[in-house]
Amino acid sequence: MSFRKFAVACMCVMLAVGATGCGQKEAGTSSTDTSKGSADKSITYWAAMNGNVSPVVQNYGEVEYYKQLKEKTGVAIEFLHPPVGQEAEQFKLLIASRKDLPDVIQAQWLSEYPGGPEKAVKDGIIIPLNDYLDLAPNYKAAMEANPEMFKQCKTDEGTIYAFQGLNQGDVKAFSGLVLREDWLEDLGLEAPETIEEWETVLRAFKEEKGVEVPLSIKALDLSGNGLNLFNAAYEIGIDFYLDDNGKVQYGPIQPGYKEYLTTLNRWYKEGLLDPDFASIDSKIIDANIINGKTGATFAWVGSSIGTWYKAATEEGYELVGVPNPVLNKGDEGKFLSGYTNSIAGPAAAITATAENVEEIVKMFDYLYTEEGALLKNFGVEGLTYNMEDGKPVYTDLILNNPDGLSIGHAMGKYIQANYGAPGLCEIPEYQEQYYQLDAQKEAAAAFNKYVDNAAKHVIPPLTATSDESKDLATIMTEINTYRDEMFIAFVTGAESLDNFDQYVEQINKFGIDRAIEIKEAGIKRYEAR
Amino acid sequence: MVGKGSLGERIFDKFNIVLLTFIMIITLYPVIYVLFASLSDSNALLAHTGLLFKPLGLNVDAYKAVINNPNIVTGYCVTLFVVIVGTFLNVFVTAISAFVLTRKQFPLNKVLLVFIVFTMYFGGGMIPRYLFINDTLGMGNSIWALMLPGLISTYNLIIMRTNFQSIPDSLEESAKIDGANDITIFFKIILPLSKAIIAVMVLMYGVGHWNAWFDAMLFIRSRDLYPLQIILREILISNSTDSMIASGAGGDIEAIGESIKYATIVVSTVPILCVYPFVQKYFTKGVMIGAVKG
Amino acid sequence: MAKVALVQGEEVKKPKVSLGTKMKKEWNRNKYVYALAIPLIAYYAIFHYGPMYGIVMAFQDYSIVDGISGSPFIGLDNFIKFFESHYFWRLIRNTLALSIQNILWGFPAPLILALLLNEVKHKKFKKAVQTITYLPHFISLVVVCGMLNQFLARDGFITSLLSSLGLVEQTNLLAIKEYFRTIYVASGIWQEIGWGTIIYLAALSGVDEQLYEAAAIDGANRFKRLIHVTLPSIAPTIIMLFILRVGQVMSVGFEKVILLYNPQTYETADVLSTYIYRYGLGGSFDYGYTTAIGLFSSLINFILVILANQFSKKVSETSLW
Repeated sequence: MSFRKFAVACMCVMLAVGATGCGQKEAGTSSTDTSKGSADKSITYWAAMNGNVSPVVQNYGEVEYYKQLKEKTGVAIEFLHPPVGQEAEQFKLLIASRKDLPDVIQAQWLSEYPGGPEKAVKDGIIIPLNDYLDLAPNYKAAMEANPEMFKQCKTDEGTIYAFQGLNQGDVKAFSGLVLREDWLEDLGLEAPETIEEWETVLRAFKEEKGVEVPLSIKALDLSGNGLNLFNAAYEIGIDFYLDDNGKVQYGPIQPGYKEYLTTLNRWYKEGLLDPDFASIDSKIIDANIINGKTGATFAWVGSSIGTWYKAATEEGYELVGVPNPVLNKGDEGKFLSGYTNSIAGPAAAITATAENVEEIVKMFDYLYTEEGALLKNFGVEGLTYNMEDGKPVYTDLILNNPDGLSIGHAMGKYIQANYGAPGLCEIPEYQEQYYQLDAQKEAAAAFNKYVDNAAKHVIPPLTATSDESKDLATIMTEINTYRDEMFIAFVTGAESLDNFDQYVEQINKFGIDRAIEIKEAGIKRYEAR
Repeated sequence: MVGKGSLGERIFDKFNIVLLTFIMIITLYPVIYVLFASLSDSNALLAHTGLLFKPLGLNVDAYKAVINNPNIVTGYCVTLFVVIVGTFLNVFVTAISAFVLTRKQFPLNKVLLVFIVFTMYFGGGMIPRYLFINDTLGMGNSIWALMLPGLISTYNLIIMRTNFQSIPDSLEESAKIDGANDITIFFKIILPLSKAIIAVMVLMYGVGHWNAWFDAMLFIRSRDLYPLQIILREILISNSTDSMIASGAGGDIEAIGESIKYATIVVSTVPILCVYPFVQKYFTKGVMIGAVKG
Repeated sequence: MAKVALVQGEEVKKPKVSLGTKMKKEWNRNKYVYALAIPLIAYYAIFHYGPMYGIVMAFQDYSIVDGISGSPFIGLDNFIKFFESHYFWRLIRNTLALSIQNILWGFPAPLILALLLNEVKHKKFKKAVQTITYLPHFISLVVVCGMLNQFLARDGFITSLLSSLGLVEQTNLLAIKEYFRTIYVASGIWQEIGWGTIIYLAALSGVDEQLYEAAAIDGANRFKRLIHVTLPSIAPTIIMLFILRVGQVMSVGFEKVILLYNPQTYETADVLSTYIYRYGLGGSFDYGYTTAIGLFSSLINFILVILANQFSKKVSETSLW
């Protein structure tokens, strides 16, 4: 019976291949197991793996920073990671099951736990840390250093529920609008500050430079993704924001939004805005900005600008980042494209079933010492950084990795600087060096020009009750769908701007008032913290 | 086939070949595209849109990077194990079950069929399923959670049953007269006559396991138990700034080189592609005649 | 076939005997079948019926923390909320339209390819076509949709090709809502046609060669043999696959739609699964609501499958049960 023979042969071969490959692996893991046993305390730690780390190591335990942390604190960590991209799903399962909860869960407690962190404490998932703060003097001091930060670390009821990543730097926006600087110079134009100047520049790109699509931005980046770009000129946020009186407003129903749409509609008709802005995918935008088919777009300081410079072959290729435009020359901007709060990224909470609570608290507290911050952001002296003039400077292992890793991935392999995690984050010395190109440094500065104004208009991280979050989801799912469709219809002219009032009415019908009310209530509770 | 070959038939043959060649070309292109992209220079690829007719700046750096990715090796091992052991269990149990459902004298088979088909449409949903398998059955974070919950695919079961039904009853009748019981009939008559469908089942289940990622996402916590597809998805999706699928990761994340994505696809797909030619040979005709005569 | 069944049926009914002896007799006759049925029953009972209690969530204001036992019942509120949703009818319409077009074009395609392949005499050519057409099945959706995005862009090669033939305007085809379903269905066929032939090829290999010979002797040409021999022989497989396919009308996977749609094509592209997906992004964890929507689709699917099955039973004697 040839089929059986074939099947048997096939299985033998595959098993043999599997056994040799996997055998080696098992030997590898067992050796780490023994080292684990020798450490004093062992804890389990659930954390979403950052996309900068997952391509280079198998788990956080292999990151040099965590190896060192174990040496310093004597706590051995066994990491559990959800697949990248499926973090939220696994987090929900973890809570639903409540069986074998890991000792530490690092997650976005504010947005991911239904009802917020206070509810998580009441539900008996995680423990409040208020009573343990005596064991964590450094964490306490770091939080209290900034009153706004301290507020954000607490729940509405004043519970400290987790170890947060505390942002130390001034950079709040990591993205914004960029243009081809070399073209501006050719044309003898300044970097645009107002909508009018933008229009001049884009027109010059089109008419004098012969650029196919002067401005190429995805529709979702202009309306749906919560980024403030050209709308900032009309002094409205793209989503919920605080107006000058500190009241919550919803941008897409403001009169200013109509003006915003009018401008985009004009640009669209004139061919200044990419005619495919509704459907274009970012791969094509990447290619266009690299090839000079596009002269202006939206960019991330780290990944986009760096990547484009590397890929561009044109002589003299230069990009310049500009602050969001204003309406009249000399006005001050009120919105950054995105605004990173004082606490950002996932926070590590200790679960109710953890045994070595005191050790865990002490371990985390170490991250908030100067030494700990240096270890986290710069790693090991002599290996990943050297001290020069009293400042840490990354070595070539990070900046010019011999294995060919990009800066982001090299950082991911050795330290924990370029993504949110408990500890002191975004410290200025890191920010200065992470952005290697001058264009990146300048862009970061430009994007953050109006940071103080922006702080007044941004809604702080709020918690919603379970009921509130269900209502909000129901209302906003329909509004977002409607808004995104209508945004494109208005800009392309498929829908006349005369119908803007009907559009606002429809959004009111969906229940925007209730949504604003929920946000207001959240802010009141936040203020009262 | 005993075609005489009239003019019409000859024209049809020519036309058929032209059409199939055309289909072959358009279905081959994506594969070639992936292959060329994987051999291209990442930056050149980023700046390129449209068709690829040759690699852009031929190099194999992407493959080096893929092989250095520590997750790929473990992913391979886990996937291989699941494909081999899992598929064997799947096909064996499915075949037995399909056989049961074709026993005409078996009073329960109608009830069983409804019992089974019902589950194609109604289920408890993700969370209860997770809680039941993870907590009640205690299979969480074990490799069995990647095999047992999907032991039988109802779809495949029904296909196999349909196929078994087309085996002439006469064969079975004569065996029964010789005193064969149901187990003997299954092993000695049904199985040997069903090579083609068994081959298909091996392929369906095998490829199913090869491509599976959802159950691993649900049940597996340790990264050294992650199958290959989870790793592949991480590389493809988590770094694509497009679409809302990526919104979970989002933000300023260092892009993985474009060509690395494609090299990962090649590395993680080629082995399973090689299975098909082996399966194909069971699609030959005339199996039945041999059996009837023999 | 039918005759055998009939005879056996009579056998069971014939003598009036006690239940015990009846059972004993039944056991003696089918004891091996009962033994073989154990894994089947055990599998479905444990892995499918075990978690089935989750359906209750559709009628609850389910909270992930309180679980099913702790969440309050709210009757049909979840369903009502869904039916009253502004986009309810559009979602249903789009889901059905996309699905039906997909069946209409996507179902026959692999069957036709398999039949064409069956007519090829050149063995190596046949194998080559088979092997190559099945390859795209293995390319991740993310990649396929990425390629589609490029090829269907304003200057993409598909757009250029079609517009030079005067079929479409030179514009981004993915931005036009009328084209969405065509693109979705056509790319699906492109990717899955070869894979879909596998089952048919297996069925075709079971067709009795003697039937062909007999037909050829009767003077039937190839087309007639196709109609009178080949198709009837694989009809059970075709019908079965079709019934199963009909039962998936309400289930359109979200991933491909999300990768291809944009707000400009929501009007035709937004389906149930994408709505649920976007709803989930709001971070509400309202599993009660999404379970209710899922249950609603399953019910429709189930009803359709029963209808399809009844219909098939009447006209072709082939049926699921």
